[in-house]
Amino acid sequence: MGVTFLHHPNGNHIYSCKECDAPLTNKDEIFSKRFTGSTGRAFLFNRVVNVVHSDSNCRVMLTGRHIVLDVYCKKCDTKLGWMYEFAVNNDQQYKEGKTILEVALIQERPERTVVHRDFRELMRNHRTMAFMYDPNSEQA
Amino acid sequence: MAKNGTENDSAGGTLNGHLGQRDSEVVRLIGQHLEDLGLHKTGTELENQHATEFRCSILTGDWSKAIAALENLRPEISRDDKVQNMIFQIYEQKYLELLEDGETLEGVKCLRQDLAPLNIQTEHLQKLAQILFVQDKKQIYAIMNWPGKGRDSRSALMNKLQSYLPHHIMLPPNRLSLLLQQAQKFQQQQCLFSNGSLPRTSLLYDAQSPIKKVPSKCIQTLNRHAGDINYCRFNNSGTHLATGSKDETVVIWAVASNGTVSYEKTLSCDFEVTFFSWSPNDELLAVVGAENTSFVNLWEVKTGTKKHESRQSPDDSLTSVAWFPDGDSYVCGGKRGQFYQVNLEGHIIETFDGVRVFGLHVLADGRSILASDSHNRIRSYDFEAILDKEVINRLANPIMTFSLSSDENYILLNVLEDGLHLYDLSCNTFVRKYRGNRQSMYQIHSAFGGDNDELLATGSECGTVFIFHREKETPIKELTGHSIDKCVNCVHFHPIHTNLLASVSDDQLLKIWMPDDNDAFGQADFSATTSL
Repeated sequence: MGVTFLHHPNGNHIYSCKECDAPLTNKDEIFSKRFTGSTGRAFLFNRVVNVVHSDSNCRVMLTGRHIVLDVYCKKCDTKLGWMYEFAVNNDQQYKEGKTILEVALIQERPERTVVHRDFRELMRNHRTMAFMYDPNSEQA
Repeated sequence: MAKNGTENDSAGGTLNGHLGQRDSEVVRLIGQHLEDLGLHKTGTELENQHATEFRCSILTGDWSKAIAALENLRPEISRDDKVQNMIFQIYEQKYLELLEDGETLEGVKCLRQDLAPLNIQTEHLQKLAQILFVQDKKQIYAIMNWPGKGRDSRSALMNKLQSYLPHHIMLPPNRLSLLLQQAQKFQQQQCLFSNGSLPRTSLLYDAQSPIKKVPSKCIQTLNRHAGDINYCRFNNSGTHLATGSKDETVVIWAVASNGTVSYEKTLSCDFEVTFFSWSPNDELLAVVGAENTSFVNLWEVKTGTKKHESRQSPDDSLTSVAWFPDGDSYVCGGKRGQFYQVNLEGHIIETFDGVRVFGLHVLADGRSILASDSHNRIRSYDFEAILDKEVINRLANPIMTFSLSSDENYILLNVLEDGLHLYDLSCNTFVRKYRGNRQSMYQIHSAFGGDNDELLATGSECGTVFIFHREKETPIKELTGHSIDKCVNCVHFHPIHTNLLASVSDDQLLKIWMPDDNDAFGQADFSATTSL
């Protein structure tokens, strides 16, 4: 159907969907690695892109009652984890708005490094100097 | 209410002694209008008796009577200095008329006895005194900016004096026709098609908006593709239309002078076509595919053969391409950060690494390249100088696609889940948001069109084509015809016949839309008969 618009989370270490390789988030967005989902380990991320949310459910977890939205990959619709909307216990409130992605359902991809601005500056200076230097001129 | 006049029963009907304020105003306006047309008053009193006397005496030149009537009106006027100003102006008119008639002595009398004692506007008084010595009438006119004795100058004086009097005493002149003019102007503004030729309107019905010029009926539905059609675009000279689809082909259509489109040829790429760009001379077509395609296909449209495939590295992802105005090179880029300028042989001329490119456009100056990227912004890049400049700052939502008006003054962004945003490129500032269409999943392309690029069209995930007028945030027309709930991916207006619209959708159909009124379409002066 059309060309599904996929956003990109930027950053160096990209996590993407294991099934369809749609980019989801990056290493900088990890908030905590000490979570567990139905398939095993899971990470808590601040911001995730290219996902769709289901309707909210109330779930009882080890840490208490929470209202969560299940999170699915936008491109291939596989369940990836869930997002916390509301935490009943006060000390769990830090999770609100963040998303859990289960490690077994995502893959890590160290992206080819993005060239930084400094390098561009260097390129530009190099160019100018090459222009100024004239090997045939008299001056040493 | 008594001052506003009383109705007599000859007006007929069920009038109680008291009309509401709005109604009595309307009656007075109508009475004024009738009088202006020369019809005689039937017996309703339109205004204060003294005010009528005042007006009559001004118009006939009976100054002392005018002053007397003014004194009678004095209690109505809130401020004394207003009355003084009025008296001054009346005497000034008297003085000037005397001078014109040659009655210099009388004029001096007027100056000394009437004007001077008032003790206001002394500078003006000095000026009046100076022209006592001027012989020539015409010079008097010039110096005082006065049209001369007569009905015109007296009416002008009356209008000036009127502004001092409160409205319930005397109606402002021409009030009804002024109100009606305002109503018509308002209707015309609502029409939103005011660029020079305003439609002639009658008072009997609301101004008809020339919706005739907006594409409204589907004249053709073409079914050549076997998969979702992702993109369509007319070439720069308007002779052909290309559509790219998921079925891995690009179909070239010929556009006839009456706007109908007919199949010409198919270009078989071996990847899903998501985007392409016509070269400035319309000979070549640069075609790109979905995220994992690492090359740009360059096709020669005339022969229908692939000129070559430009690839750099198999890890590349090239999803957007744009030609430079000289046609010797194009720039391409994608979400993995590739962003290069490539020449016609497929060799990279320049690169600008590190930008995750979503959409591209090269400006007419041949140096600035606009690129939307993953940081929800648009920047302008100069490959030669390796400079970049922020054009549109980080939006809250990603920019899926964008298009420019033909004069490059406006840029229209399709923002995920946030409708269309119009920005003014001359100052990089937000202008307006257009709402109504749905774009939360798929990439949708929009376009400028209509006279002076005043129309905007976009597709939507609900299957309708939305047409907006640039000045109005809600759609002026919704074209239905494509399958509902299948996304209309792309629309494009014909570059010359700007009222002809092509739209493509996931229902595998290409539809051509035209305005209802065929005259609005006009004749073509390009020829699509040259064989391609």
